[in-house]
Amino acid sequence: MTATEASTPRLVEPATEDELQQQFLDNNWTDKLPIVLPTEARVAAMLAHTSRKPQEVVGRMQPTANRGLWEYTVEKVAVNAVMSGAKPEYFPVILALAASEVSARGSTSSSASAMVVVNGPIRNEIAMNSGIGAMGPYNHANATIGRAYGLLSQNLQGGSVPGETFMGSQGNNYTYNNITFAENEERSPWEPLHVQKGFKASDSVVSIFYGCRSTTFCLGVREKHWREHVKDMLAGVDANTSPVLLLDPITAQQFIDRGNFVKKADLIRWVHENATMPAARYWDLQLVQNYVYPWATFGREPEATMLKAAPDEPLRIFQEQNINVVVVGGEANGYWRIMGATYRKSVSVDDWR
Amino acid sequence: MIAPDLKRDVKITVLNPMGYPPAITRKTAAPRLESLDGKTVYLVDCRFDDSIELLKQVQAWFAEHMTSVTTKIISLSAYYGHDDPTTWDEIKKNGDAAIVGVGHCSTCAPAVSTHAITLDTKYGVPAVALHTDKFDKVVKSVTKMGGLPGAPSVFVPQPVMGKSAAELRAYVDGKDPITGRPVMQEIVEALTTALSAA
Repeated sequence: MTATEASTPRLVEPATEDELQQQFLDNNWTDKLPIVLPTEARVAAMLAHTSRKPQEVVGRMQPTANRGLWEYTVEKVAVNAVMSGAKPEYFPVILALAASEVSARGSTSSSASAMVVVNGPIRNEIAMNSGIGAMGPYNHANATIGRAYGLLSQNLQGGSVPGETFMGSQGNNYTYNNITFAENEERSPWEPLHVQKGFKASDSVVSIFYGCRSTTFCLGVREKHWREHVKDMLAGVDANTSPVLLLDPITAQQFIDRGNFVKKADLIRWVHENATMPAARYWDLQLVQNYVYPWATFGREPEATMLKAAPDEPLRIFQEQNINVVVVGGEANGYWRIMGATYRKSVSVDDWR
Repeated sequence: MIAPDLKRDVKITVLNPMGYPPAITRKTAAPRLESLDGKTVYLVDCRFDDSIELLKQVQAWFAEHMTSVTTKIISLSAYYGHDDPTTWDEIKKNGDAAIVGVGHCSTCAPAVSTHAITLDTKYGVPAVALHTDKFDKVVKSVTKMGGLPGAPSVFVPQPVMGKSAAELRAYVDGKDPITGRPVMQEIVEALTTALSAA
């Protein structure tokens, strides 16, 4: 089926605002917070901020594999963008997120969240926050773009209803806005994330991570025992989801001072080499049993070679290419976090202007 | 919540936020066996949590109650999310029917049902999917989307992970929490009774 042959009605039956708010709530079309009703005028205003046609197909999405891929158009993305409270000038960023085809409402029983990092000129064009409070509810663009990503995911994939299309056993508060922020490129000592992913610094890009659950936290990078401290933190990241180091600019500089990590890649290499666990303990982890061990027995590398390790032999938990570093924060202090999150995709925002 | 003080009684028109569902291609299940006597039934382990431990108890039930049935436990070649033609070919070549399990997470339950549908509709092997009851609505949606809404699915209680052999045997000897019917009776019937067109 193509979107032009679509079975979903374009309009909702006319009703009062209060009735429509209730209807959207009852239909599980919201995140249970009030939404901005997507009137034709509001949707048209959103659509005016992209050169793409309203009926152009943007992508397909589903809560998990084997659930059936639902299709969506530019207009459908605009409807959800309006609902989130986003300003029309944010729309190319929201379209890029939709074009990723990565759902922010995945139905994993582990209750994962997405995380969105925005890079390039668009950050400043729409006044995103990469400084103090960047990952909190203090910036309109950060807040509403992240919310739009959640709403469009649940509605465009055919729902996110507990017991049916959402099976996250505990749920995850991160999913309210999917940890959406801009990288602090101006204060970072390293190249920005999107450049690492093959884009030019002048490109505007969204990068999507998925699997945010485990989070560890620290203050500063101490001169004497920083290596042990970081290893302890890495032990708190689940072994099946690689670490993303979220560093305040103060901490990024400290890593350079302590470890001479001139490039992000140097720090990533260090994490790869130092996050280790005895083989027997590693292979006994339930998540490793479910998701890594089957590939090892299948013969995929490097898992197959890892399986040959002696029980006490330290195994490197995270593959180097799966580890990421992002600089974010306003230098109020050198606090930093490690988020367990798998890099999924980077998408050009400029392609959706 | 209605806010009468605002007197917003003007009707307005808004757009529907839902995407467009995929087209569904209906599939046909394999013919069922007349009986399981003398047949070989594969128990397909999806390798999520302790699936194989439950299948061992299903195997034990057959050994006690249907001695003419040969059962073989086989684990998927890799992660459950991937299609596994090598395993399907082996089952097609050496087996008569399959029990695929256990669907007891949000991603493996869809995978288990999809694998069972593949065996049934593509390889002509009568198959039944074994799940835990938390995932009944998920399974219904997946089998509908997969083109075989009547695909047989049997449920045991959640959880399977970490349960003792005796506890899992009680699941197998017990009733399907969704239908209230004996689990093994449902499994045997699923492989031997023609599927409805539903």
